[in-house]
Amino acid sequence: MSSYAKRVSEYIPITLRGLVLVLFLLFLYLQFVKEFSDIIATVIVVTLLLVLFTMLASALFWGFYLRQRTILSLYPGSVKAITARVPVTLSVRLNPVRIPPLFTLVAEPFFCDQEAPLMSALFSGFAKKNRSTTAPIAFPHRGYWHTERVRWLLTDCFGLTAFYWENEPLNKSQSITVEPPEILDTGLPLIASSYREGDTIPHHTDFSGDYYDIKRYHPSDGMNKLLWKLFARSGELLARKPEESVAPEGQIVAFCLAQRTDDALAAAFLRYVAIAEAAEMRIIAGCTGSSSDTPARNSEAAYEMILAAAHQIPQTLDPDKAGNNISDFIDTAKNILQISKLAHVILFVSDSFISTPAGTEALLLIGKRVADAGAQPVFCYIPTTDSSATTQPARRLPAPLQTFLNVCVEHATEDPRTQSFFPQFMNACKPYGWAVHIGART
Amino acid sequence: MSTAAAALIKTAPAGGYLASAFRATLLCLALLGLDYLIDFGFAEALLILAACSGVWLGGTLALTRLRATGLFLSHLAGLAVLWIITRVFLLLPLSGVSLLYLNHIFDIAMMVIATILLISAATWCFWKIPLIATLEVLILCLASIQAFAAHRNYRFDAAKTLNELSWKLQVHPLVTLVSIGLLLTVLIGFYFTVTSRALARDTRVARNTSYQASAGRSLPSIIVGSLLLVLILGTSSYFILQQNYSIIDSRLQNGVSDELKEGLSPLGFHSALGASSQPAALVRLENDYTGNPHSPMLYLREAALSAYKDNEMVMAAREFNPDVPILTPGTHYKSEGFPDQYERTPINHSIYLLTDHKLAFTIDYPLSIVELTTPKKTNKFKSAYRVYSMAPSFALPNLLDASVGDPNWDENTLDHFTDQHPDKRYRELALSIIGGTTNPIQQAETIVQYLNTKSIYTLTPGHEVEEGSDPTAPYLFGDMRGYCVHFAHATVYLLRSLGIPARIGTGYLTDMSQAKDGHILLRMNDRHAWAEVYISGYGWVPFDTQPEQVEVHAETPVDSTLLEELMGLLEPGEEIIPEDILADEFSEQTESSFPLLEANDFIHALLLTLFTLILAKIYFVAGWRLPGTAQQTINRGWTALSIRLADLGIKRTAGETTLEFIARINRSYATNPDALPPVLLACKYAERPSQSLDAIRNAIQRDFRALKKFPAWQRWLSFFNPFSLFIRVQIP
Repeated sequence: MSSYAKRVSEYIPITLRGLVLVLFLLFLYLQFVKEFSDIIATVIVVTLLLVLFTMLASALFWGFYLRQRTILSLYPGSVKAITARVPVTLSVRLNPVRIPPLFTLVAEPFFCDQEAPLMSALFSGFAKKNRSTTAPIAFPHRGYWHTERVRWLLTDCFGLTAFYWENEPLNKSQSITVEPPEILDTGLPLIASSYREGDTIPHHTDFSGDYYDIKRYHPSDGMNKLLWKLFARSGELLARKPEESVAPEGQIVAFCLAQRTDDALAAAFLRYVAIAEAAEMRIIAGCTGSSSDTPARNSEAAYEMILAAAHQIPQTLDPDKAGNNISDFIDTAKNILQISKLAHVILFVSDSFISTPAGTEALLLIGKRVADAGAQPVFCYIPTTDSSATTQPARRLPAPLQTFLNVCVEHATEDPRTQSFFPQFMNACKPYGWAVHIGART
Repeated sequence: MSTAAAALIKTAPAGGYLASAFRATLLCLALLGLDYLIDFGFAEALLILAACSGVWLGGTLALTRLRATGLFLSHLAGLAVLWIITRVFLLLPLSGVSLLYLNHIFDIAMMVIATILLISAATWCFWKIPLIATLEVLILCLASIQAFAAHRNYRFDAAKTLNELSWKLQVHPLVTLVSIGLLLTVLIGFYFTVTSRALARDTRVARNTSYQASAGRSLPSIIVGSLLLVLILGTSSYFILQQNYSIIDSRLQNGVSDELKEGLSPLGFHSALGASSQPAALVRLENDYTGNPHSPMLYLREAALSAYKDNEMVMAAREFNPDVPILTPGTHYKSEGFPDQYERTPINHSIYLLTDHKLAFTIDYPLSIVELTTPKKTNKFKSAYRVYSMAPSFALPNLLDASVGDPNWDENTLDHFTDQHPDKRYRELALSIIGGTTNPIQQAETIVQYLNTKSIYTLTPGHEVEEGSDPTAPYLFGDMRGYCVHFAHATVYLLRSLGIPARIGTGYLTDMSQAKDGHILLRMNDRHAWAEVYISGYGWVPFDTQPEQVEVHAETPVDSTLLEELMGLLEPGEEIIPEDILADEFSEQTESSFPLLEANDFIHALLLTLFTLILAKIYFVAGWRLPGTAQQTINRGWTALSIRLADLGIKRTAGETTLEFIARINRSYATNPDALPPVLLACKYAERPSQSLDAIRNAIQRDFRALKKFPAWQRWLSFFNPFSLFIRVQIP
């Protein structure tokens, strides 16, 4: 549409319903009023046309009048903490303007880079003072949210006219902090970025004696690792498999591969960092969307980083870029820690990757990049959904039935996020010897 | 749908439920209306149940992830399952009544479930596709317009229901139609409002994540908006009524009484004569009319057209037709002289007009007409009059021996009634019809018989008549299709071409067999025009052409219920008035009764009182602006201020001084009308105004401005409070 046409269309504030009504009235006039002198049709045509033109004229007049005068401001109100995806109410305030009878003024604030408004507030009637209302809203993900613009709509109660304009809100510079949900414990072990084999401390939640914890004795294991009872029974020298140290060196390098909506993962990451900090470990933390040059060095900085980076995360994560980003992050961590080699880099992942074969491939690629950087990747997987569901393989219907269902029902194919390729991912990690841990959301 | 979205939807306003309820109500009404027209054959309760269930089911399905294809297939599957169940049950070894009974139940079940599924599909579309809501209401609107299609072209009484409704409400059918139109408009508006709220708030389908809250004082907005809508509706109605009423009014009375002037025709070749069955008048025969030669038909003449002008018959000068009083219904009349004619019988009849008529009509030959008091029980009657006539009572066969024309006529009169049509074809046709017949009465009968046989009655002859040409010729020399106006003209032209004095009589022709106890209900389609021949010793006798072939049979039986209802509204009949007291009839004051007040009188009185009070209020509130002395202005200003304060609920209590009163106002209402009181007090203590008139007026104005702290709607509404006029204003 040319700019001229667009400008003209702005000045004809008729909705589709209004247009349909005009056509209908025209039809009534030509078919019944003019041809047959139908009194009822005449009444309807004359009355509705009068209503329509009154509404159009009012919408134009008041639209131009209000366009110069409306100012909106948004406040969190009495809400102390806003959590992503949890409905809260925001205070919306409009300066004193008069809204004509039968008309409603709709304010739709647009946050950050959102394409659709997350809330809208309706105003009507006369007011000589500022008027406030509270509107429910659920922010789709964590981050610092600020209102970029406000779209206004003046519409009549019949839905025949609509006059749009946009302006900036009063408190554009203020942002609303939306936190990821709180997680008390992830159940993940604290895995140091470097350790000496044999000098391990079992995790307080871990247990020993499992078959897979036993390996052939090696002199470097130390005498105290020898399992004498087993030697007495089998005649073989067996020792416990070296376990992850809790805090032998006091250094943790962790990277959160969170997408925008991976709030649970971000929460688990923050909780993990907080636990590590409480254990007096040094922390080097990074996440997608943040600068790899300035990793977080404590839990507060990690919190800021996670929130600030949320809006920077691209909609689709490129594994190459992510791998590069992690490589840079590892280099920065090495510099900060002043070591030449990192033993482990903890990668927090969620169903965003595990739920699709491509995501799983991407993770393996990222893992390889970490390995190339000289560190062993340790994947900490935080399931988005119930962990029991993720272990179940996705059941597929027969293809014809699935096609039929797709035709009949929206999203008949299972939500990819509810499927899990975790077993496949585990198997893929085995050859590389990469550890994979499943965290809990408690 | 995520838990969060579900939680939000729970907090969303319930606009969806209002829309659903409104739709269900509309659908119920539509289905009941349809059931009224085409009987579905099962109980109305089932229809209501089906409509409500369909709306509920459709709404519920809209909340699921079902696509249109899924909806269609599931509905189809539902019907198929039902059909299969039906067939299976019919295979059971049942017979006779049980089988019929079962079959009937299954038929009903199929219909109900099909209705439910249809409505649910429509409801699903309503919630899924926003434009469907608009289309839905427009289709309903179109259906409603179609339902009243019979009333197009100003035919208000084509359907009995509307006619009855108008009669019950005692309003003009046009007003009923306009009201129906307005009601439909209001319904459309309400539907638009409800659906636009519901679909905008999206309470039924989680289409997006936008949720709304509202703020603002809506009461003044609603009041102003409602007033605006009422203004629009009122203006449009007035416009429509104003535009159409004159046309409609003339069409209602068309044919016979449009013109009263000599040289003009009250008939119209283009009018829709006889198209409507709207009640026109109630005729009550006060005595028996046994000798009616045309029995069971009865002619009531209104006008006579005996002059030929501009290709049609028009009204002639009064002296040519002394038997036809060209009078408005309320006019008294006494015949100048009754010719000595044979075999006439006196008949006294009262005529109660149900629609406006410009001319009074009577049974031939009216001797006197007096106005009657219109029955007070109802406002259905427009006016009433009583006629004393000498009605024909001869036997038609006796006419054969009579001669045509009056021997007492002068040459001018005879020429007037035998003035021939310039078109020679009429005479040629007349001669060919009569053959060798010489008796003029027989000639007339032969012509009428010819026309009866050859003509086709239709209200829409469809002749293309150019202006200035003869409208009868296309009928008579063309397709022979026409209505009474054509037949009467043709008959008169043919008779006159043979030298038989003839004219056209116009009025009503009614069937006495449909009368009840001497009461005849005349309808608009009883209006008629007929040819008359003057027969010596008998007067003007109708020779009416009534074709055997009828293309459109517009005849409908008289509404006997309505007739009885109208009869009940009349005062008891009176005996025939003897001739010796006929002379006193003009001074008769009829139907006097105790003047009881009716509901309308109370309403008028109430409106008058309200109007007076409002005028008084305007005077007292704005009176200080009138010219007067300073003292008068102060007193008037204080009175006005006190009244306005009382309007707003602020009254001076007993024992409170003016200053205390003002202080209380200031304290309680944060408004401060304190400019006038000092002036008032100064005036009181100085016993004369201390300020100039302008200063006093400014003080009053300032105090009135202080009242603006109250909301505008409160000030405006309170102005119409009449009770504040009666407060005791204490002028110090």
